[in-house]
Amino acid sequence: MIAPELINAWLRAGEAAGAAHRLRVPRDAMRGHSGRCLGRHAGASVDFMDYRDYQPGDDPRGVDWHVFARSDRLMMKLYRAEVNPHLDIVLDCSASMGVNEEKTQCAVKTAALLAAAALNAGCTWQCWRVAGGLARHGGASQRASAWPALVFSGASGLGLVRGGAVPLRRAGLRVVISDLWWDEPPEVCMQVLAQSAAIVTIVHILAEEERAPAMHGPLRLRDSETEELLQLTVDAQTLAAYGQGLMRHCTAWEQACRRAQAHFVGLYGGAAVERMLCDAGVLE
Amino acid sequence: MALWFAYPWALLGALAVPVLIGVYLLRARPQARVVPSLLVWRMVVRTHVSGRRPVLQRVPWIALLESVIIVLLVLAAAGVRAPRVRADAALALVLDDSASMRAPRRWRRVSVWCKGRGARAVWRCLPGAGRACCRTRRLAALY
Repeated sequence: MIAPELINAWLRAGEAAGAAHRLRVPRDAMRGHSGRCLGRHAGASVDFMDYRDYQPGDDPRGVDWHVFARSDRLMMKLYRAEVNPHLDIVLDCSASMGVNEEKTQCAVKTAALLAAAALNAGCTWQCWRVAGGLARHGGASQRASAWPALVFSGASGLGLVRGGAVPLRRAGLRVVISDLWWDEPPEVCMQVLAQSAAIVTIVHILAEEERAPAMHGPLRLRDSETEELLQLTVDAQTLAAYGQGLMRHCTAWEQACRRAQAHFVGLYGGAAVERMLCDAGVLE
Repeated sequence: MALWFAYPWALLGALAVPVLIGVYLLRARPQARVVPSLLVWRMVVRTHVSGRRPVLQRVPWIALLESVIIVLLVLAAAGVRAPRVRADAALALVLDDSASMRAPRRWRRVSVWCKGRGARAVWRCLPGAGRACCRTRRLAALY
């Protein structure tokens, strides 16, 4: 169990790191409610966008009467919409994320960094926690350092996929921060996550201990989430097989992300979060 | 032919053998470890261990070797002794009773002492039946 003070310190550190960055918002995400950014579609801002022919039912206040006087044609003047792109930060708060302090720190800092970068980009955001289900965490666009205490317990993955539809904002940006120890096939998870999203980014976090476990001899392994036990003798051959299995698991997720046109960012063994997110095109 | 020990208390050192085997068995017990997920470990077990017999907890060869070494050290410390001759074997004692042995008085004591020391060593190795073979008056007088 990680002390809440420690988690708050990590949130503040992530927020401070995110202050120097902006979230890169793709054009597809320029939709939504009225806000501070110019969207892709016609709306009610003062920025001229285009002309189109008048169609029955159009508001006559939008007709450009100067054009009608010159050309005797009814033309509608279109303006750019003002939107607020939205970011949904889905943070895996299952027990597996709390086993290793290094992993927890990386996840919490990444979430706070993204929230701060979203603020700089003029986005609204909402944090969600995955722990046997998807639940809101904190208020909308609430500063990360003011989030309620994060508790890492329970199962992961299942709640997200079982329900079919996810209660995330349509046409919004979605960032999933997880260790991806989910039993569901990656394709199914990505299908659900990418549904009606502008862009999905999967941030895969693994601790060094998970990538290259320092184990040897007869062991009784206990799953941190399900309490399931597995007895085996670990030798060099077993560790090599584990490495291959882990690589297959990561590759499967990477391929599923590519098929769903999502970003996949692997933060392994204490990698520099900011640099990795910038390289992946999530931050700028 | 019965063995006997010069220092029987040293045999208590043999208690180290069961202790050693106990230590090995305890070390061979699987250690409990908490892992984030068994997802990949289950795949590893399915790939590499399926169809195999479960490995029983065994004492490794090195433990047996160490036990043997401990037993040998204990026996050495206890001073195990075995009679060099069989009880039913005949013993011939040859004593030099030549003229040279009848030296002047000042030499006689030395020769008797030498003779007596050699005979005493033989005497110690003899079981009861063998001692009856010593019939020389001079040797009998020494003991």
